[in-house]
Amino acid sequence: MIRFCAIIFILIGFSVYLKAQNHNLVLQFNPKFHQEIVQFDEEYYSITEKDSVQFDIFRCYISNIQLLKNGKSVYKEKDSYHLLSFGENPKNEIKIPIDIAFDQIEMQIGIDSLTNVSGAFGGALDPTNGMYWTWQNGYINFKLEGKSTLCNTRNHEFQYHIGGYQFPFSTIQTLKFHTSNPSISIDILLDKFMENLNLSTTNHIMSPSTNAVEIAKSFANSFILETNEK
Amino acid sequence: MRNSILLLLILSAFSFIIEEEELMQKPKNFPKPTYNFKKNPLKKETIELGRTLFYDPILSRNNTIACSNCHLQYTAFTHVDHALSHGIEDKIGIRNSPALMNLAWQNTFMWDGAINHLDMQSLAPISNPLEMDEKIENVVAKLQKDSKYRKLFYAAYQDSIVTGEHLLKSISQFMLTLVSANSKYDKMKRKELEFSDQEKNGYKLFKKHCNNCHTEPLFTNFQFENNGIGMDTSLKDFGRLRITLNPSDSLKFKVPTLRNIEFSSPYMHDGRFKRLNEVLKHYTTGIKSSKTLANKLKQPINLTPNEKVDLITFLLTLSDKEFLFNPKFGYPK
Repeated sequence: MIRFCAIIFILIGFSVYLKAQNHNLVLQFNPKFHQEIVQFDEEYYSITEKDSVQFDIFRCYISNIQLLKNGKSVYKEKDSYHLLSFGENPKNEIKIPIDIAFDQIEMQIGIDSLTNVSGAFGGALDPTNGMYWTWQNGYINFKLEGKSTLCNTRNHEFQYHIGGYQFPFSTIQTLKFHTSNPSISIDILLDKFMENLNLSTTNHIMSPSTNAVEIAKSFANSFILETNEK
Repeated sequence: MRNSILLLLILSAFSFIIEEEELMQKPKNFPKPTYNFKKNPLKKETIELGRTLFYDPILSRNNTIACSNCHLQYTAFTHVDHALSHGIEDKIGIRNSPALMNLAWQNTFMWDGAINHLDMQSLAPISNPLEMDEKIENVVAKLQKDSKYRKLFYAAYQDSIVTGEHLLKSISQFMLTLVSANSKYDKMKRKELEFSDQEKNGYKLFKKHCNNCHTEPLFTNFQFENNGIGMDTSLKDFGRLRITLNPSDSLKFKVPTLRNIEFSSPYMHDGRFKRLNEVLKHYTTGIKSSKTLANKLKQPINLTPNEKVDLITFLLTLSDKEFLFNPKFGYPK
């Protein structure tokens, strides 16, 4: 009887393991600086040799996740809105319980314009998440805050609150990756992103503008599929 | 048996319609509302929750300022006597608070259209440092601690957990019920009464000179226009420009409704005119020309003193006492 129970137990365990293995699309996002995973609030990094950068807050919307095979859409996630958050109590993983063969994945950084004009939502889109502008409506697509000696500001702070959904200041970005692996690791190269910013002149962006659009494009370019060789 | 089930179904459908009409007036002389009720279906308990929140200073940082401080029912839900509305710790804002009514027909909010949906409107005054200066996260936490609100949220949403979404949608529900459609003008339109000769003449003048922007029956075309009042240099308010960053929107502000105008003084985005006489004086002899001036104001409007009196007589027919004194819209018991 004990042996029988043990077998059942193992079988159940195995099937749960299989389910976890096969029936999930897992997206993991890792902010990196010079190949290292970014430690928030503590570590100091440098862009050139003479400066230092520290990150406090980093949050970002990923939305409209879609899988494609041979260029055709095979899966679109419903109500696909995810708020990634790094640092304290991180949420850097998106799990979707599906098992579909694909060779390309698409997603967006930010919130689409229709959602932006459709009133109040809950969950990841709830305005209590601190990712919503109140004086002029619209979601903040991503938020990056910290300190750098390059910023001639109070406490050397920089704040990028990047959003805007209306022409000509739309900041939503589309990411496309060619992969068939259901377990996907995406690096966000903050070093590359920060290098492209001129921290000494552009250190506070808090509203939709041409500048915000440029920063959103550069931000999207810093998302890359993690390669195994290192 | 089958017939009686059918009858029952028809009756219940009717009762649903009647109930909805009881929750919010849908005037026959109005177009269809633009608000999407499917995403926020009206319910008695939710409206009551929204009404309680509207009148509760708990929404502000130090629990002193409620929505109703700047939006008083008896003055068409605007701030009477103050050109610029004042909020927390007597701080003075930059504009005159807008009158609230018929919001289900409106798509953008605030003088510059900064707000794109009624559900998101309340966030602006809650977080503005000159108004309520509070974070929505804190409001949610304060309400969650309050047993009265846990009960009200449960009644409205079958869930006593307070969320930002439910908070905002319930305030929307109350604001949606603020329908003003029982003025003398509405009753004349519905052939329940007739205008006097003076009112008739005023209506004729209105249609000729004002209706282009203050379009019937809501008395606004919901557009942004520069009405030639010129900028108050102490405020440096460029209106719609701040939102679109488009120079062609400089000095444009949303065309406000004229309903209940008798009670919503002072007038204009900065409240610079106290009396309707002053407003008419502006439109007849005070227009300041500039690049973005409304096309309709490029030709001068000429009115004799008698015509001015008639026009004002017509404007007074837009007063809706049933709205201004409806106990359903007042402080919750």
